[in-house]
Amino acid sequence: MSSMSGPLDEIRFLTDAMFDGQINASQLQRLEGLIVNNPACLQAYLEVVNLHGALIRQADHQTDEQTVMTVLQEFSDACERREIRNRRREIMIMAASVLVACGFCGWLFLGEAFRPAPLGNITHLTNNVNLDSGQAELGQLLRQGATVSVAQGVLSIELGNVIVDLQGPAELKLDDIKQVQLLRGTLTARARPGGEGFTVRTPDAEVVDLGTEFLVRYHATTGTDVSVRRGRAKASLLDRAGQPTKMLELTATRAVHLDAFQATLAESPFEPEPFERIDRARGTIRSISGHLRTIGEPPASLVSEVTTTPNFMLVIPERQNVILSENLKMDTLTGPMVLPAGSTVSSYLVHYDPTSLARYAPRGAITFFGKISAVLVDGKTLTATDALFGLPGIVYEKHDFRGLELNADEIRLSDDKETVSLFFGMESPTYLDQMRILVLVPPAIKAAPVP
Amino acid sequence: MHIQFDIQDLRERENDSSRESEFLRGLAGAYDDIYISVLAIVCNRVDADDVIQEVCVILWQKFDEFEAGTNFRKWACAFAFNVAKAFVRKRRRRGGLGLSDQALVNISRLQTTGSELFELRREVLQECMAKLRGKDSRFLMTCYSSKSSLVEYARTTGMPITTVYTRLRRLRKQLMECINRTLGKEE
Repeated sequence: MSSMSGPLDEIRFLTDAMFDGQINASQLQRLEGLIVNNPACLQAYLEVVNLHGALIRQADHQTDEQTVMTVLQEFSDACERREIRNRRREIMIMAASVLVACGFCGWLFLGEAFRPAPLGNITHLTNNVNLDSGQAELGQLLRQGATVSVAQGVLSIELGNVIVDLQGPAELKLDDIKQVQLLRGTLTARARPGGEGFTVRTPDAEVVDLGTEFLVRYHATTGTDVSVRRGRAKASLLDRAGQPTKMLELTATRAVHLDAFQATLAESPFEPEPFERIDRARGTIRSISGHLRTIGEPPASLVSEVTTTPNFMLVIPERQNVILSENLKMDTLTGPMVLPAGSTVSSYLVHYDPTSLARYAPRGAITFFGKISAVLVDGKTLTATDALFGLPGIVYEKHDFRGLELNADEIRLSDDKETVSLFFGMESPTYLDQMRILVLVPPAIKAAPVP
Repeated sequence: MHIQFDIQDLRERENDSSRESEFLRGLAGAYDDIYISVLAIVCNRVDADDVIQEVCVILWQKFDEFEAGTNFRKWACAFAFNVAKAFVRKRRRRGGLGLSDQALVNISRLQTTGSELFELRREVLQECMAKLRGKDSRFLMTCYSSKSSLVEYARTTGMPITTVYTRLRRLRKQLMECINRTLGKEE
């Protein structure tokens, strides 16, 4: 630039550079400054541009008309190209839309197909159950890898031949149908024949069912406790790599404490109370469905309009494993019958007191581990058996209207006598409906403590 | 933007008095000025060729708004300036180089007011071109032809690109001095 005589030479140089595509940012800034601030430079700029324009026109060797026709031809071609481009774009947009739609459908259908298989389902909920997130529904499927986090109440899951009861607050992860991880809190597992080998893992321990009913409690600071109420289970202490280092086989009413941090495995006193909490919640109920809940804590009163149940029927496990000392004559759903002395039964009261707030008559079903021996639906019979089967501390309704009105209420027993289906209508002015179900205790669990 | 522009139809009607042929005649008469108006704003041959097509589209679309008997050149150059300015703004937004709006307005204003002078300079250029040596003239025409770029020219002739630029710069200067001398404009 030093060889230039002045701004006019400079602007010509810069204009040529710009025209040739050789200009850089600082040169453009200089060009800009000269054009804006110096009229002579602006004039020179346009003289150079006009020179370039004229040379271009001359180089094309065309008359104005020919040039125009060329431009218009190019323009026409450009229109056509643009039209093709637009059409292509429309096709691409349509194709993309179809792809997105297919992807979405694929996600819906294939996603469903590739979703982990369901391992089990929720078979029981107490009326006070709350999850840390989301909602739990009876019958809800739980898939491999699912985590269930119960803030309060008892939630039960059936995994093949094993029933797992999770006592809130607790968190469980389902690894597969034979293994779960207890991340915090307490669970009990009850295995039926075929459920052997079911495993509960915590960061401290691995507990393998050997045909039993056991409890596992885990807390990050205190370690893992394992108790066996019936049968046998194998409890192993795990190291930090999750490998077993010590093992103890537990038999009925024995317990062990495992602490991976301390690397200790030590027997501890058996505590029946956590099992009893489950008994109070579900007894020998295998599953419930429909508008049913069991009870977290027994109510103080079951008198009409005291413990109301606007949205579901309550199933209250009453006295369990009652051994009849004499023959018991009763009016039952199927007519008068006698339960012979020596029979062992567990009692369940179904309580439905919707008051006037209820919007619908609920339906549901209860399946037990044992055979249903009698269903008591008459108010007088219920009152007559309260003392024998009722829970101490509960005030029962004394009026006969507590019984079912069989014209409005429907009760059905399954052929195998393990399931009872319920439909309670709503009869004003008193809405209370109650019935008592007596279930023969399976021999396998007769030895369990009586609450 | 889509426009039905039947070029064959226009060719056939070149000499009739229809609206299309009126447009064609107006465009042909003002084409140099329109092109140079665009070139002055975008200051790049390739960009100018793109913009001029866009300008033609718009002029044709807006031709119904043109009042017969008024200055087509002025009307068309105003549109050309706006289209070219929009192009430069877009280029700037994409990180490319381009003059500021203020500079573009100054350029457009002077191009419009000085159009007669610039036209005269273009006429004088013909005389000055005739004074060039044949090989210089051919070199210039090759460089300014739309069919080749300077880089391609350098490659095909085996000439270093810097030599091409130097020679081109020298010839441009020679022509500019010739035009100024002819018009009595001494610096």
